[in-house]
Amino acid sequence: MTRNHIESNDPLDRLFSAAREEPVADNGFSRRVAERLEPLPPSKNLYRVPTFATALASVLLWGTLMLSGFDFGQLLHRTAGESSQNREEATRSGGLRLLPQAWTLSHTSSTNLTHTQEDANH
Amino acid sequence: MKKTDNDSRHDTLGELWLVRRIKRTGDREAFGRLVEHYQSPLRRYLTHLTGGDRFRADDLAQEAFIKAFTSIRQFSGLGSFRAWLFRIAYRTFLDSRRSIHPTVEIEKTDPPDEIRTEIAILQSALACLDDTERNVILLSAVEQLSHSQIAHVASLPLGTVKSTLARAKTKLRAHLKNEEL
Repeated sequence: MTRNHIESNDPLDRLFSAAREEPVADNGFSRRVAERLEPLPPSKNLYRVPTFATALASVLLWGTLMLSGFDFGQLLHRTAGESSQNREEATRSGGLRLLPQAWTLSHTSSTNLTHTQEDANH
Repeated sequence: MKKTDNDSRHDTLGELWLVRRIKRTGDREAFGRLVEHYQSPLRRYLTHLTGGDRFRADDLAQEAFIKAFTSIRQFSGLGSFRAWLFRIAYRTFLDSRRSIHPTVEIEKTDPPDEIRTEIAILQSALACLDDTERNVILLSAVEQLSHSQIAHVASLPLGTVKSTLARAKTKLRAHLKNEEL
């Protein structure tokens, strides 16, 4: 029970009370509004899903590697060892460097390239 | 206050859930339920605001509902949906007045026969108020919004709402006294 429902002799209160109780029948109004509604564009929040998925996948990958005991130090050591070996082979074959040093080649492809060069010289 | 079935079904939590669903998926059916619930108070409010012009009030209400749907993602969900909707309706009314009747005051239209005498008297009394006073008194006395909600709807400071309300009541009482009611 609110203060507006307390019986009052005030004519103004009586008028407002009558206005509150005045029913407004729908008469198809809601249907007409529904017919005029255009579909909304997708929520911007949906665009965040792929970003979150990528971040989550990265974290999971790192987590899995760490838990499986993957040795990052050994990987770096092996990479460094291979590049020094390549440099040595290049020096041995006459110091000819076909590619920039920064472009790391695998051991086999480097050897094949050297052989091909030697064949061409013969 | 007697609660109708519709009121009990449409509680605040249910309303918030509907609004969240519309914001996320643009569910038009869910918005239709909000329209069904709010069409009566909103059309009644706009009818009084337009001086009893039911056709114009219906057009404005329809426009307000469509605006509410397209901008529903701007509704923060922290305040009242009812107050937010009434704010859109009031702005739609002001825009229509600027575009259609830039300087002319509201014309008094004869109320239809089915409207009771009290409503006709109220509408004639409301015509002696300016737009802001009429809006504030309707939102307070008929739609029963709180002062802070009215401040949000009418974009007025809280103190101004209270003083406008008092002034509007004084004017209405004076008008009714002159009409010997």
